[in-house]
Amino acid sequence: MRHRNASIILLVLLLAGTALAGVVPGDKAPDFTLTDTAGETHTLSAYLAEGKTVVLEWFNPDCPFIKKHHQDHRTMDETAAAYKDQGVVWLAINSGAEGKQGAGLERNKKAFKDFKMSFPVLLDPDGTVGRAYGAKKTPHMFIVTREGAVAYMGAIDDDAGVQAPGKTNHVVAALDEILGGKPVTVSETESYGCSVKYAD
Amino acid sequence: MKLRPGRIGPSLTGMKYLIPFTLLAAVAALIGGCGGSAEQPAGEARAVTLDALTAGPAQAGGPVTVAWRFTLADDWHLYWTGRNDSGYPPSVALELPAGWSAGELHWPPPERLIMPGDILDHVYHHELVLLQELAPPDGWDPGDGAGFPATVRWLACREMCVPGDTTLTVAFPAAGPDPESAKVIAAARKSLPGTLPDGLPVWSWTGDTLHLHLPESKRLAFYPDRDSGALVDAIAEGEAEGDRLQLRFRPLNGVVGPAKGLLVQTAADGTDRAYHVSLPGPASGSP
Repeated sequence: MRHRNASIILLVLLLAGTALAGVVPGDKAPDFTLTDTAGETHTLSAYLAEGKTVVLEWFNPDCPFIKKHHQDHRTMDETAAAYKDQGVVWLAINSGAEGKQGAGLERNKKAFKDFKMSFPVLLDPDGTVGRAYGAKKTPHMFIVTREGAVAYMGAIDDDAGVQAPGKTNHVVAALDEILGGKPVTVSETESYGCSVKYAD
Repeated sequence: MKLRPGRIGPSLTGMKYLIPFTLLAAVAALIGGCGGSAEQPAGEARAVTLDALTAGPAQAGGPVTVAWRFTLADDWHLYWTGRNDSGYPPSVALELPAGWSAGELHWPPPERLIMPGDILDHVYHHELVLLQELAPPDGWDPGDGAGFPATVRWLACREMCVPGDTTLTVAFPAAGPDPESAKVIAAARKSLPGTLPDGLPVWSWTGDTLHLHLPESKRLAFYPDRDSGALVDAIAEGEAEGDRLQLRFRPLNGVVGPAKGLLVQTAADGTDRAYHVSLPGPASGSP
């Protein structure tokens, strides 16, 4: 019996270790429920039940790379808008801990308004969702298929600088293939950006 | 936050480029780290200052070394050119005169920096010196003293990240030794990663796990290049006590490996040496 208990504890630890390591393409996307800056709750499984494809964008309004795509250029909003009528839901998630750069309700409310965002910013201050996905950068992109699998993870595009958007939008390429019923050719790229400001 | 200092001892690689130039500091451009950004709180010291040093005059047909020296304020870091979970490395864009050519940037070994959220970066604190070889064309007259512009960009981070950039002029005065610049360049050369003798490290694949063995190591660490294969757990498995390292790889867009990057050895006397390694994936078999 003691051995069995030890085995169960070990299994739990192994599973916990797996969860901490994040996801890779092909994995089942961890479900979550988070609240946005307007107080609305969003549940991944509810969107999937509606047949939606879900794009997750890790977000920090004070990160220069987020400003590049939300303020200096409209990469995220324009991409989200282009696929909105094709059953794609776009969610920004801020996993920054209270007190860290770009974190907190008021800061993100203001960013949502200043950036004229067309999709919600969800707050994940304890970093649970960010860690479950292994989100490390802002922006760090994940695409979840209607079936609930991670189909793409990585960068939004192929220009890792803070000035110009890239020539190839990896999320667009992956969405086109997913919506066309094809396997995703490039399911993972090296993302770029600031580190997610998790709690210490 | 865990930080492993990157103490790197002498390495022979790069010494072949050591050129007996005698002089001179050409440029001492001083640049603010904020690049005009509002990210950095007012009143704080600038995150980054940059100067460009040359060890000697430009000579027709022979290379001349430029050292791009970044000096960092406390707690700030710059990024290595290899794989990181955040940030991006400094870059240098030269507007060379006709006939000149430029080599790649040479990077010293970085430090591992692990932040909350299992974020692993390879970074530099305090100072980073990048070396670059430039070659003037035949017929170049060192007496010209001409210069050319260079645009340098970087991202400096601590709790926050601040992009910076500047354009400065690289100039090669005709004469005048500058032992200080030569000293900086020589020290930077000594710190560059080397190349191991043939047969080292000893390596083999078992499935998707790479086994590395480098004798006479007290500790080993692997810092992957950007075009290296994807590691399952770079934080837990990327460094280990002893003379062996086991790295599990996972498929990246269907391919496992290769293993490309720096192998950092801590010797018995506590000194560190870094070596470039480039090993094929398991599909090619073990040697």
